[in-house]
Amino acid sequence: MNILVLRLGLNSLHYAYFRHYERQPVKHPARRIDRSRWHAGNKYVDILREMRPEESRLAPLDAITIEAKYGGVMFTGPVRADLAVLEKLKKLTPCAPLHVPELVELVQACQEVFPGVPVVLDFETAFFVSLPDREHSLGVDADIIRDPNFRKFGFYGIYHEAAREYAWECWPDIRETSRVLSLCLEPRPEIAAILGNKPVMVTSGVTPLEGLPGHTTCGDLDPFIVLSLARMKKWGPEQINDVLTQKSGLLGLAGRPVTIQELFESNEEEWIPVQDLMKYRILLACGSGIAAMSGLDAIVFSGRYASAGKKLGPWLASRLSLRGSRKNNVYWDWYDEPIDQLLADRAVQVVMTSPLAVTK
Amino acid sequence: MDILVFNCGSSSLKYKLISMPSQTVVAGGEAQRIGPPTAEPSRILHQWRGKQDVVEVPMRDHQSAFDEVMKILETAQCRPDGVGHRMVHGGERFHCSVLIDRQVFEDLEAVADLAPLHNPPAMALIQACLKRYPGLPQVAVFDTAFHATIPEYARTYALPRDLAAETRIRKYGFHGTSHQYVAEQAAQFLNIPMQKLNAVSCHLGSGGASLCAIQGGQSIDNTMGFSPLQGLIMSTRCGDLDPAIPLQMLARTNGDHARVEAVLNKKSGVLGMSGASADIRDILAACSHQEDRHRFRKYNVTVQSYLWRIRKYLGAYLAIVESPAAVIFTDTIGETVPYVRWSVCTDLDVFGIQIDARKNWSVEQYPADVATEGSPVRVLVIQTNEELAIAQFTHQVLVHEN
Repeated sequence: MNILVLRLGLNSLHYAYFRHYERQPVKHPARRIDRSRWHAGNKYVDILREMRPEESRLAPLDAITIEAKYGGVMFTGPVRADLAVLEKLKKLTPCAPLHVPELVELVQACQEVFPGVPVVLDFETAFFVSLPDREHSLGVDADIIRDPNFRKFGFYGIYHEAAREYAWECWPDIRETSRVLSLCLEPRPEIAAILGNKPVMVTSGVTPLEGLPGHTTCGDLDPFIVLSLARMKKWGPEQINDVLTQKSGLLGLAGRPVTIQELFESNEEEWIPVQDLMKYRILLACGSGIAAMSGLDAIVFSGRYASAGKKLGPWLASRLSLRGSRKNNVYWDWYDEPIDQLLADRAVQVVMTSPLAVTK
Repeated sequence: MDILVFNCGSSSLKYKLISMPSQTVVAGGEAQRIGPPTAEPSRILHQWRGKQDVVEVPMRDHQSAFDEVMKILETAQCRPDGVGHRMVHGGERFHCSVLIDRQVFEDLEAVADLAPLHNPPAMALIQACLKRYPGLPQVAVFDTAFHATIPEYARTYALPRDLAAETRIRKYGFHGTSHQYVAEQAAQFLNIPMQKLNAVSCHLGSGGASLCAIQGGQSIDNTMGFSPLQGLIMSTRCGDLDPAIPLQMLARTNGDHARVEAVLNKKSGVLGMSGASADIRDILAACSHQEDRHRFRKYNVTVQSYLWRIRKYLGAYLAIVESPAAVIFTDTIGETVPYVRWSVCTDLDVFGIQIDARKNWSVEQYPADVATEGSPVRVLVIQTNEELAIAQFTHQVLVHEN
């Protein structure tokens, strides 16, 4: 089965072809098209038409799968994008105004350029629709937030689900209690506590800005800081947003760009304070996750910097080998399957087994 | 030396006239439920010469509460030799208690907006005291002082370093006077030196609330941050919130930060979530006899979210404190609501906590240990006495000055 995987970034479109039975990208490594190369007008149609000859040299496509960053509470799993799904998706525009319209445009472009090829939408938030009320609720006026989509989500559900499955495969003896901490090491890292097969805690918030600090994002902040910046610096919301999302996190702390992997694999002295801060935040979040699950069986690192788990894993497992843990011993490992592969695998499942949308 | 102590909480004004160094309480009391209306009326509980009077009187703010309290004290002919004020925020300027002079007052004004619910009413109290008792020495005791030991990696936000330095944005931590006091009491109760005490202290007030991680008798983290807004869900404060939300609110109000601040500080938390009361005890009670399904759900989500936030932070701090000896519950909710202690501590064997249901539901005197006999970590219920702690600090400063 031949699958085209598409992932939309804020300024790029990433794509990869998979021949599913080989479980490897076909011929070409994953590619990225930057916004600077986008055409005006039907940008995605033009881009996909450019890709078309490449695709025809391989074999006819059996499915296209698109990573959708946000699906609100409506989408609880991957779906085949039909008219009804697109209509539901459009209703989520106020919750993710930068992402949803682009996503809809991309789906429509796929349908135009590759007519008859099923398009699958795979939502990163779907795994977190089942978060308990007490975890996803916010401490603000309930009447202000009548929209059910205004709540906490996680934003790397596909990695977290895969990490939980990996834990079950690796350590079958944990299945009974199944208390897994999933540390997704992406540019905006995220930790989820998964009890059984459902998440019970996640570090992200209404947006991925809350939680652990990222490459350029601030993570958890006293909400009063946002207001103080407006007052002290006389900054407007856009300026504050720019600082919190583009100039903070590891960049703001280290003073230069650094990835999570570089940070934890480095022995440079100047980065020790940043390492200490990140490790501390990770430890705090893991403690919360353990309290949420009333225990811990395994830790799994995933994401593009999963291998940083080699350094973090032994340290974290020793710090979290608590009294009630499995024989005072916590399993840990890292899982480095790329997101493109995960998306392709999941698309095959959807196309073969679930012809209809899974929506609330 | 008789010290009059004022402890200005976000919804209460506690006061005590304490004779030092004997620590004898001459008179005292608490103005309760100041501010937004709750299910029960505002009142002052005044204790003097072994009697307690209850005075029901409307108190819309701390200034009016102060006036009512002073009337009661004057009637009892209570005249202090010095006044100690609980100051919530000392910023980076104050790391210990100080005698208030003009310069200190100006410095206090400079940090007043860091704790808009607490510092301004305490400043108003200082001014009112100056008018009523001119020439009487006044001392400021800071909630932030105990947290001066929080390490850099725990007090730093992931913001550009130059911006943080310029704006002095960092974690300060609050409720330090209470956390320090109950930690000392716990060390004494457990018969270990304070400098060897590892514990998590849960100060759960009817207004504000915070947890403190204590290692070697020193604060190493606190759930509140740059201001007392961060952390747990409180009576009217939101606690932790995605930074994108205040940003969005700023955008919607054309940058009116005062309006957004008022919503997050005064109309959120238990009051905002429940839409009924700022006091979690009211919501707990309402849950048990609520027949309206919509209201029940709203109240239940409020209670569960309130408890969940405490539990998650307790887990976080138990992960960073090495070999904790105890979890301490204190202040109004922590001392008097066993359901809260039970919900937070139950099924936390993983951290060595085993709470005893029978002991927990039958606390009659303090300090109380409500853990099972075999529990590696003790669960202690200790009455906070911030007023006594403030009187001690005030006495030390005045003796030193003299």
